[in-house]
Amino acid sequence: MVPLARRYLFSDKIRLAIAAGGVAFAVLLIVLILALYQSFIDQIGQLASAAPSDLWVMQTGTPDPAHGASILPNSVLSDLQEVPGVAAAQPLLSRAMQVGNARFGFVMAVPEGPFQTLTIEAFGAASPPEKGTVILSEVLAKDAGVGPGDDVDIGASSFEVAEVSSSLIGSFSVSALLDSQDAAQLFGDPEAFSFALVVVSPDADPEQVAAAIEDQVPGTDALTGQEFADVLRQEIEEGFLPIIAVIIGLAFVVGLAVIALTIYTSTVERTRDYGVLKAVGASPWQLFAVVVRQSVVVALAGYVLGAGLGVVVGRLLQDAVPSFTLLFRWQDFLFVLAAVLVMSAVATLVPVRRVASIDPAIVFRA
Amino acid sequence: MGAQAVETRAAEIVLEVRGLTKVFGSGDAAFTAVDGIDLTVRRGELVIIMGPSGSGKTTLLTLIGSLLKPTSGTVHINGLDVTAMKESALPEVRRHSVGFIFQSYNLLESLTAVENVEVVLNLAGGGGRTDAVKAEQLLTDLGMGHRLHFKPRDLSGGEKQRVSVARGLANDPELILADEPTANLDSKHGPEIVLLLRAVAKELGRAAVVVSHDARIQELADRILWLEDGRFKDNPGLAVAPAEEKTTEV
Repeated sequence: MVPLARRYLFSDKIRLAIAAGGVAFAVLLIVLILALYQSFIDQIGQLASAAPSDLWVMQTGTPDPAHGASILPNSVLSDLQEVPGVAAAQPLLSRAMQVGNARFGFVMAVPEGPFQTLTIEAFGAASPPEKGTVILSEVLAKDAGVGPGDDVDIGASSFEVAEVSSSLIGSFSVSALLDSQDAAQLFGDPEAFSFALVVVSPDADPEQVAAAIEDQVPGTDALTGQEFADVLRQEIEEGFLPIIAVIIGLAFVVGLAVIALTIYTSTVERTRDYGVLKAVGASPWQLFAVVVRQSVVVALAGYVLGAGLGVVVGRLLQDAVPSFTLLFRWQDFLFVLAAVLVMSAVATLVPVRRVASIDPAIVFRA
Repeated sequence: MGAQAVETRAAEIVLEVRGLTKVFGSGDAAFTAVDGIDLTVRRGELVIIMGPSGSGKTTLLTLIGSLLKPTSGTVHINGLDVTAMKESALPEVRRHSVGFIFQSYNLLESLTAVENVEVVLNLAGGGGRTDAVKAEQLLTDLGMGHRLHFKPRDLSGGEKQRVSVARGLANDPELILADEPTANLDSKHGPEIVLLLRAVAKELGRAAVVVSHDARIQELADRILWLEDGRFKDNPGLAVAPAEEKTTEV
């Protein structure tokens, strides 16, 4: 079989390179935006999902630790013990604060409680830091410009960096783990904590216990880990998803325009060829297939190039900008592939109409 | 004439044109390019249609090749009324029943000589090595065996026209339509191409209709028809001018 589509495409290699490059740029943009978004979504819910508890209890109306501090009096811990179905309640201190040069860090501490060690381990630290020291997540340490042994300012206090951890989780991977007394002092109220992590009895239903907590302990909200994660993600989804959708849409249009222009100009240049093929018996579908194949080849070449570059550029950006964390998922690559194939199909609409309208009698014109 | 003789005669007819008319435009601007043409061409025949520029030669060829719908009249190819066929059915006719040879060769510049022939075989539903072998054989038979993998830009005019002939013959059409096939060729290669078409008509039993201005090829025709103002007319200057063509069949 004569590879007509391939010959047409490769007859002008510069145009092919520009077209594939244009699609690759669109793909790169989409891949990076999606990876960035997924990373945000993943990180924002990490803390809620990782906690070794069934429920999160917080001050009413403060479910987002990045934007509102939950402050609960220590008496709430004993009140929780009175609620039927509550097996144990572990306090957690957390506050969004400036850490060194970083504008935002999620500072937390796990005070003594029924499952203090388990909670610290679940959040990615081997043990609590010594008094006067801090464990920083890798991203926050890079952002703050400090390393192990350095001093870093958090609020009005200074702490020595005991460890930079790649496994410490929190909000947006910018976490700092303090000794609980240091944290209580830093937050300004030793008689209060931020969240209670509640484990329910084996025979109790977490949702029913949550409802009972909200009834019996005034001023609290109780959410399951999944609900808490969803609340945290909701803000990102509501705030960023429309923006991301617009950027992805624009990238899609850029890719579409590049393919459409390339295929259209190629088709116009080869009007006579298509006329000859019609004259010698090519059916419209056979000619459409030639056009569509060219479009698919450009799209796939752009996809492979763009997806590959996306991963490489993403890694470089992550190294250069610590807060630029990415999560590449195979589902997103499949989504982009589908988008690129849709691009290639839509891009052929005008060229196909052009081919359909070519009068085969032009072959008799000198 | 006996019944058997009539049947044999009818079977020999490859092209039958009746009352073929093409009018471009309408009203005062109407222009009749082809005006009530009747023409019959049989297997083994090489017919050359001559005439001045603008006489309707190419329009006639375009109508016969089903690339243009006539205003009225019929064209039968191998007994099939192509003027009554739907547009969607015509590619099949062009693939299998008609072979075109063009004045400006119309080779696909991105393809090699052999691919230009092979692509027509592919369109007819072929594929794989068989088509390539057939294309190579056709070109070799036409003396192009040494230029199989050359692009058109690297071929001479005569060589390009041979490739065009090979492409026209690729799907074994019964009818070959050639539009000014010698126009861009010198005095040696021009007649060579028409000799080739004549040989194809005689040896392979095809019918060939050649439209041309070229007086050098007159002697190679079985019949020469003179077209003027869209009609066949007598031309005493022509060596062969069967007067009956201008009204009914030969």
